Amino acid sequence: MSISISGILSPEQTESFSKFTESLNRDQLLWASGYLAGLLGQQTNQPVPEIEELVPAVDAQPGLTILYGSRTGNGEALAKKAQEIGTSQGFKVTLKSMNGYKTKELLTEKNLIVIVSTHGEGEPPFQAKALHEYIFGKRATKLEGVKYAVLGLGDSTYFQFCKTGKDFNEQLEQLGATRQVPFIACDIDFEDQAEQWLNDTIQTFASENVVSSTKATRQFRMDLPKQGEKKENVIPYSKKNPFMASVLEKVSLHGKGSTRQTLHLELSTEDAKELTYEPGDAAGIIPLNSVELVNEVLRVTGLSGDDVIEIKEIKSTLFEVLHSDFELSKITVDVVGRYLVFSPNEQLQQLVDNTDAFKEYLKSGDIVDLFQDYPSKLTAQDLIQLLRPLQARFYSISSSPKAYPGELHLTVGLVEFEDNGRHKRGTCSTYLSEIDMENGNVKLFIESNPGFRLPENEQTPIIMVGAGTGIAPYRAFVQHREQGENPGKSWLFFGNRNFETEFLYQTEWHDFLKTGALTNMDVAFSRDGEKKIYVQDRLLEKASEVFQWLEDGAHFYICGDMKSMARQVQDTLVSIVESQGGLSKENAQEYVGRLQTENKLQMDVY
Amino acid sequence: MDKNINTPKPSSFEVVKENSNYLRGTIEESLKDPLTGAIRADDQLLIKFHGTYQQQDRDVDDERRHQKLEPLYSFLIRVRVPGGVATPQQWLALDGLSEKYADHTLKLTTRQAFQFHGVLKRHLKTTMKGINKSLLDTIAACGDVNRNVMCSANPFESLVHAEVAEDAKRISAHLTPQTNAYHEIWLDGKLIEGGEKDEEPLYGKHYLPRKFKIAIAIPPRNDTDVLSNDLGFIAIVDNEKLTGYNLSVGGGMAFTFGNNATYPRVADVVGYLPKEKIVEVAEAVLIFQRDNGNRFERKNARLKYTIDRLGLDFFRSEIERLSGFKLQPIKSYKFETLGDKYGWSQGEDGFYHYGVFVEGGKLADRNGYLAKTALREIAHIHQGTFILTGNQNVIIAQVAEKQKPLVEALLKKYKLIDADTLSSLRQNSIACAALPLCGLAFAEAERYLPSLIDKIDNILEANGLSKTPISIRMTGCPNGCGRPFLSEIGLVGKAPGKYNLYLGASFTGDRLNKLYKEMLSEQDILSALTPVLVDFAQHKQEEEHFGDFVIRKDYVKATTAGLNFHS
Repeated sequence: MSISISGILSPEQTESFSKFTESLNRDQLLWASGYLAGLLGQQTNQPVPEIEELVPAVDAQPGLTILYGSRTGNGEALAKKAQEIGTSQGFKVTLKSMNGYKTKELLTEKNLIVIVSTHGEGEPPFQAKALHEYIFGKRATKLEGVKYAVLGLGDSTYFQFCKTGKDFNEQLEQLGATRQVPFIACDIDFEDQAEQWLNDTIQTFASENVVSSTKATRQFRMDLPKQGEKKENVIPYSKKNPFMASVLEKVSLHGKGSTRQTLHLELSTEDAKELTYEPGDAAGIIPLNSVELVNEVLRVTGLSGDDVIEIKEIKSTLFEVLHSDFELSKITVDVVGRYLVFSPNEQLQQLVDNTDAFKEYLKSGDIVDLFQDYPSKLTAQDLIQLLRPLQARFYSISSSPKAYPGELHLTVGLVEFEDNGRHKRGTCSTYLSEIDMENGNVKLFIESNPGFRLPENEQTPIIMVGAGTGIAPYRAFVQHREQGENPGKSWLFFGNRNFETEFLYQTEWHDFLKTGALTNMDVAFSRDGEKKIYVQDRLLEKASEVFQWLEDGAHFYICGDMKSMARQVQDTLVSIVESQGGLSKENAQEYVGRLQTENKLQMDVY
Repeated sequence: MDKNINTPKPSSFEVVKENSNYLRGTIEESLKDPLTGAIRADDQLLIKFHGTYQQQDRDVDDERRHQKLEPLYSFLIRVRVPGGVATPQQWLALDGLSEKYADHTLKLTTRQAFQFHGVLKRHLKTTMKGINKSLLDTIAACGDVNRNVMCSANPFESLVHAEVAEDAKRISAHLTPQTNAYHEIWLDGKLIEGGEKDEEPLYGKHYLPRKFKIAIAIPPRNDTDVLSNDLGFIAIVDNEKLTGYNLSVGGGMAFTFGNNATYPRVADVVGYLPKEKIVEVAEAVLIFQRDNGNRFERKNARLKYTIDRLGLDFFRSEIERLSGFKLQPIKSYKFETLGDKYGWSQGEDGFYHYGVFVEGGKLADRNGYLAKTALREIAHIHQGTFILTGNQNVIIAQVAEKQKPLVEALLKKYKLIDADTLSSLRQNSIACAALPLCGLAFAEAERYLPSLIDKIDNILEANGLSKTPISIRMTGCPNGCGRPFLSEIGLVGKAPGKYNLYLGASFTGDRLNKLYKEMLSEQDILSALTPVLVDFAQHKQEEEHFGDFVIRKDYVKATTAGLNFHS
C-alpha cells in the first residue's frame, strides 16, 4: 500500500515513512492509525496549520535581520518598528542587538537592516563597538550575498553627525555586501523620517525577494499599518504628544556657598495613567527659550517680536515662535550652512573651512553669537527658515515609580557659563529652574533606556558609580530596591566637588544606609583636599572588595560625564580586575568586556 | 557601684565617661566617617574634654533640610592659654589656622582663650596639630575638668603680674588630664614629651561631675570676674611683693529657665593662703568637688551646689584635711572695676602696653575694618607678648620704648578703634557667641549687642551718661558664658528677639543682679531702660554706680546670695 505524501513530508521523511508502513500488517496498521490519531488529539489546543500556509513558512519565507546598536531605547524602538513592518511584509524577521551579536553571523545574513547611533565625537555606542571594530578589522570576511541598508541615528549638533552609521554603510560595501537603499542619517527629530525610510526600504527588500520566490508573493500584504495608530497604544506620550506634568516640588540641592546649582524637581504624572517608566529610563523635556535670550536674538537681528510669520499656514508672532519652537542656544553645522546661503560672508566661510576653529565655535556658540560675530540683515521669515526646531532634552529619571507612584523626579544640573563676553545659560535647565511652581507645567515624555536596568533578580548585588547629576538613576534604583521583598547588597560611589554643599541627596542616602536599602557608600569630593580625589580613586582603594562583588555576580553601573569620568572608571575597573584577579591586561579587558556583553556592566554616559 | 535599685541612676554622661576608655570613645571612627560632617552622639560629649564642640550653622538648618543636606556641622575649638599670655609666634600660628581652616575669625573668649569657629570635621585634626605645634593646646579647654586658668591681665598695674601668671600656669599644668587619648587622636600618637601611662591619678575615669573653673585676680582690677569661678584666688600684694592669695569658692553663672533649683552664685571668700600653697589648695578643692559633687543631676553638679548642699564649714574642714593646711584669716583687698584699661599705658616695669578694644571678642576683617589684619601685622614686628583679657579684649604687652612708634604706626594704618571715642557702656560690654553656631542659644548676642548699644548710647548721650561706666552683658541663654548675672545691665536671650532684663549687679563683680523685666523686644528694652537711666542721670549720688542706684531706688531688690537670685 502506498500513499501520496509528497508535499507534506520531506523526501527523507517520505522514504522512511514508506519503509515503515510497507513493513506493517493490517492489524499493525490499524493500531498505528489509532495511535497517530491519539497523538493528534493531544495536540488539539494547538491549531493545525493549513497546508497552503505551511508552504512558504517551511522553505520560502525570506529572512530579514534587523541589527541595532544604540545607547538609548531609540534604536531598539525603531528596530521593533522595522520588525513589525518586515513581518507584515512576509519576512521572517530576526531582531538582534549588536551587543552580544556574534560577528561571524554577518556572513550568513541575507537581508540586513542596520540601525546604529553615533555617540560623542563620532564614536559608536558601546553596544556597537565590537561589531564596528570587527568590520574594520583584519579578520573581517567578505560579505558577498548580503543585502543591506543602514539607518544612522544622531544629533546634528555634533560635528561627526551619524558617523557610525556612515561607517557601517561604507564598510559593509567595502566588504562586498550590496546596498539596497541609500544610507539615511536621522537627526534627533527622527520618528517620521525613520519610519518612512523603513517602509520604503523593506518594500525594496521585499520586491527583491519576490523575484526569487514567486510562491510567496501572495503572502505579502501590501497594506502598511497606519501611522501612529498602533504606536499610540504602546507609547502614549511622545515628543509630539507630550504629557503636561505639574510641578509638585522644586528644590536647589546645593548648599549655600556652592558656585554651581543642581535642581531637584518633583513632577506629578498622576493624570497620565499610561505614562510608565522604569528605573534607568530618561525623561524627555520640551523646554522654552528664555525671554532674555529671545530678546537678545531680536536685538542682534534687528527684528521685532511682533513681526508676524507663517509656518505651515499658521500665523504667529516672531516672539512666540522664537520662545517655543526653535533652537536658539545652540548652533549647528546645518544652521551655519543655511546662514551662509542667506548671507554669504567671507570670514564665516573661512571659519567653516577651518575645521578645528569651527568645532570650537560650535561648542558654545549660539544664534546671538552668529549674528553678532557675522552680522547680516535677515527677514523674520528667513530667520525662521535658518533655525532648527527646538529639541527635547533628556534627563535620567531620579525616582522609582514604585516608591513614588504618580510622580517623576528629575535631577538637573544648571548650565551657566561665561562665553564670548556674555553670560550664557542652558536652555532646559534655565527653563526648569524658572518654572512657576503654582501654574507651571512641564511637557515631558519617557525615553526608554533598556541598556541601563536593575538586575532582574533583586538579590543580585549592584555597584553604582556616578558623579554629579550622574547620581540620578541610582536614587531611582535604590528607591526601587527598597520597595522589594529582600533586595541584595548595593554599593554607591558618588563624586562631586564639595562635601558640605554638593553632596546630592545626602540625607536620603543616610536614611537608605540606615534601613539597609543601600549597603555601602563611598564618596569623593574633588575640591576638598590638597589633592583632587575622584570616584575612581575610591574604587581603587576598595579594589579587593569591588572585585569580590564582581566575582559574586554584581552588576556594575556607570553614570555621568563621558570625558571626565566614565572612561577613567572603566580603566580603573580593568586595573582592579587585573590586580585582584591576577590577570594580564588583555585578560582583564576581556573580563570587563564580558561583563559588558553579559549586561553586567551598564553605562549611561553623556 | 551601689546595687540598691532605689539609688538614682548616674546621669548618662557619667556612663559615657566610664565607657570611654579615658576619653577615647569612638572618636577616631567618627572622624573617619566620610558620609557625615558630624561625629557620633557619645563622641560629641567626649570631644569637649579635648577642647572642641560640635556645632551647626542654625542660620541654614531649614534650607539645608529642604536641600536634602544634613545640617552644616562644624566644630568650635577652644585654645587654652593659661593666664591669657601668648607670644607673637603663637598669635601668628593661630591667626594662620583661623584663615585656613576656620571662618576667618578669632574669638577672644571671656576666659582668656582663643576660639576657632566653623572648623570642618575633615580639618579638625590638622587644626589641632597646628595648635599643638605652636606649643598651645586644647585639652581640657571644655568638658568636666579644670578649664583654662585665668589671671588678671594688668601688667601695667602690677610688678607681680608675671609671678601670678606663672602660678596660673602651674595650676593649669597640675590639673591637666593625663590621658594619652588626646595625643593619640589628634597628634597621631606622637607624644610631645616622654610617654605617660594611661591613668588619671587626679581625676579617675569619671573625671569631675561638671566643668570646673579657676581664676586669679589682682586687685584692684577684677577683670577675671574671679567670684564667678568655682575656685578663685585674689592676689594679696604687700610692699609690691606677692605674699599669697585669698581663696574664693563656689562661684558660677549658669541656671536653667524654669528650674529654680538652679541659680547663679557669687563665690564666698573663705580664707587666705601663702603663695607656696596655691597648687595644693587648688588640688584639694578639685578633689573635694570630685568626691562630693552631684553625679546624678548635671544641672546641680557644679561646686556652688555642692557647697550650698554640704555647707561652708564642712567644705573648709575637708579642704584643710585634704591639703594638710589650715586656712588663715582673709586679708583685706578692694576691687574697683571689672573692666579693662584701653590704649597706651606705661607699666611699673617701664614697658608700654596697649589695650585693644575688640567688640564681642570677635576679631575679624569686616566692612573695611581690618582689625584681624592689623593685629597680624603687629604680631610680625612685636617683641613682647599678647595678653587676652577676661573682657574679650587683648593687650599688646611689653612694648619696648623704641618699638612703640612701629606699633603705633600700624594702629594708625589700620585705624584701630580708639576706645576713648566709645561710650563707657560699650567699653564695658561683653557678648557671648550665641547664634548661629551655639546650640544652646535662644537668641542673638554677639551679632546683635553692638546695634543695641548704638540705641542705648543715644539715651545715655541725651542724659549726659556717655562717660559714666556702666557694664552691659548679653548672652543667648542663661548658661552665662558672658557672665550676664554680674553685669549692671544683664540681657539674657529667652526667645528669638526676646530678652530678660536683669539689673542691680555691682560694678566690681561681688553682687549678682536680679530679674527686672521678662521677654522684652528691643523696643521693650529701650522703653524699660529709658526712665531708669533718666532717673539715674538726675538722681545718682557722687561716685554711685548704676547697679547700686537701682537698688537704692528700689527698681530691684539686692541679690545677696545665689539662693535668693530668683526671689
